[in-house]
Amino acid sequence: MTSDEKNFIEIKGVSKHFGDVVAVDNVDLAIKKGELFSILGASGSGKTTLLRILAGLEIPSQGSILIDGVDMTSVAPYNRPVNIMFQNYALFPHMSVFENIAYGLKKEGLQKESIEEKVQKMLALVKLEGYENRKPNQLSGGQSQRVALARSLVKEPKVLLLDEPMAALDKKLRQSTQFELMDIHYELGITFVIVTHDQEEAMTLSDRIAIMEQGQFVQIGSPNLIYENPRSKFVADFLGNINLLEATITEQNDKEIVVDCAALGGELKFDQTEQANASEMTVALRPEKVMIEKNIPTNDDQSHIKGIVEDFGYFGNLSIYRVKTESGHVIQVSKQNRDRVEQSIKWEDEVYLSWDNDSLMLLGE
Amino acid sequence: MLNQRSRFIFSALCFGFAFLYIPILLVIIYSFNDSRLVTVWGGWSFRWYVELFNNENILNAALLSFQIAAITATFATIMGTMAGFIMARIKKFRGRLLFSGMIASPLVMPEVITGLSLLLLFVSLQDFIGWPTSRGMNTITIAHITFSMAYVAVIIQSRLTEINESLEEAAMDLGARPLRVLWDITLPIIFPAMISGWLLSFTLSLDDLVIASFVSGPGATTLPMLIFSKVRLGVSPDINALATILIVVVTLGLCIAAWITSRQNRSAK
Repeated sequence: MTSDEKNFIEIKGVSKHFGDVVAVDNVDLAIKKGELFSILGASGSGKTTLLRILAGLEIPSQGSILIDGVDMTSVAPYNRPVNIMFQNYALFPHMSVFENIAYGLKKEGLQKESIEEKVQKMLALVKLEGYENRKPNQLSGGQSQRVALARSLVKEPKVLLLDEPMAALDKKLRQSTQFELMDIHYELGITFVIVTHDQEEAMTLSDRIAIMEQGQFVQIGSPNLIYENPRSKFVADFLGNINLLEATITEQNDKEIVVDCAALGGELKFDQTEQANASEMTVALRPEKVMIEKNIPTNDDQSHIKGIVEDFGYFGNLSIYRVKTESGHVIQVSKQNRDRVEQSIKWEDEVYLSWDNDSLMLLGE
Repeated sequence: MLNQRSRFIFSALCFGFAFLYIPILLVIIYSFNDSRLVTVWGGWSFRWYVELFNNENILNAALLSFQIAAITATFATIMGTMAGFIMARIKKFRGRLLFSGMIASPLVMPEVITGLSLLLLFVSLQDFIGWPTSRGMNTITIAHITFSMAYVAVIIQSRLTEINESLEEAAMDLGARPLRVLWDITLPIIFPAMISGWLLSFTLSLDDLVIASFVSGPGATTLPMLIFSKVRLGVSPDINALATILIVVVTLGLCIAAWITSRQNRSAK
């Protein structure tokens, strides 16, 4: 078994209490070598605390941390093969860019020549050649972020931890930086663990995402898996837009569950192996999986309902409609603006909504 | 209307500044007075400066004052930095409230009380452990350190709370042990604050009359004590010269402190 197949970072039963507050609650997690892993959660979900535990800046109240097979639970931060990039970058204000990046290497006791060489290599990697003599207060937000990244990568850590790496950048810069970060990750092959509250960022960057809520993971998986198969109403709602519609179970057996969903026009059947233990369920439907037309759909495989456009937003690449169905429920629909024509569906128009039945998901709480 | 009002404000400002600074200006001007009488102008001269530098009493007092001020400033900066560090970096410990209260109390304690209580302390210490054997430079210095370090502690604490703790964590993450972090990161960043704390303690010590009068003994006369006793016998013109020199020293100190603080604020941005 090679180390690539083993779990590189193992978090076993880790909890962290601050007084009466439980920030991280008995969490288990395994991250593979070279993975770009995101921990996604709202503020206060305990994601930053977990990252700080990995960095050694907090000691867990319970549980253990293994990195590359070595127990790191009580190893001090300065002895861990791990580096962290802080949300506010934490550049040393009294040192130049060069000195900032070289700091970690100096503490290792490296020769001057090899420090020089490694720092120059890092500056080239983050595209900041020629900036070595600037002070942090002479850098823009994007440049500061690159220096912080270079500083945390220069020691070639086994794991790089990033705390909200893009939060301080504006939207345009954020997107280009995301791709650069992915390139750097690919080039160096270091395991990245990113903490973020931005679901788009987590979706674009990550190989896998763990969604955290109140100190626990609610779902772990690839962005695609979590988006298309959310395990719960919370996850579905947290990641992207979704219509959550109330439904009541009318019948269930070994193979299927039949629910009554008023918003989607009556009875729906789901293949289900897992038994639902509550009678109130939620039917979830992503807005982009609903088709909106002015004419009655003719496709027999699809179900359809009638409604009136209540609200409508034009975003350029797509339009978002809020349609009030005959039963009085509001369903959100998004439509790609594939043709370069004037919007044909407007406010108060009568429209038909249709969808493939396998786009529907039945979710518990 | 607006013009009238601003003229009023302007003249009030001028009057205020005149009230504060004309006496000082007069002292400076009269220090160059040739006449033996303080109130009569007798032409320009440096004779009182010459006389001042030939007066051994005054020179000794000045030397003593500067020595005390330098030692006080150095110790107050070291101890005040430590106290400020604890106040800013250790969020919870037993007796924190008491500690912070005791650090701040010398700032508001009347000088007479501080002086008197320190005198009582020194006297009873002498009775019980035989130290200090005599009161003089050592007791004045200790007294000055006790109240100056409170000012330094406040300056350092406020500077440290401005610094994000993640700077120290980042250094630790990059392989620096806690003492190394203090030396490489924390101290360089608070160094300007320590300098201004040092200068402030130096001026406070140089300036103090009340506390020094309480805790001093025979043979140890600081500059303010000497000036005060001389003035009681009538103002002699050499006092003007001495006062002018003191004004220059204190103003220089304050200017340097202000310059350092403004530079530090600019680099923090």
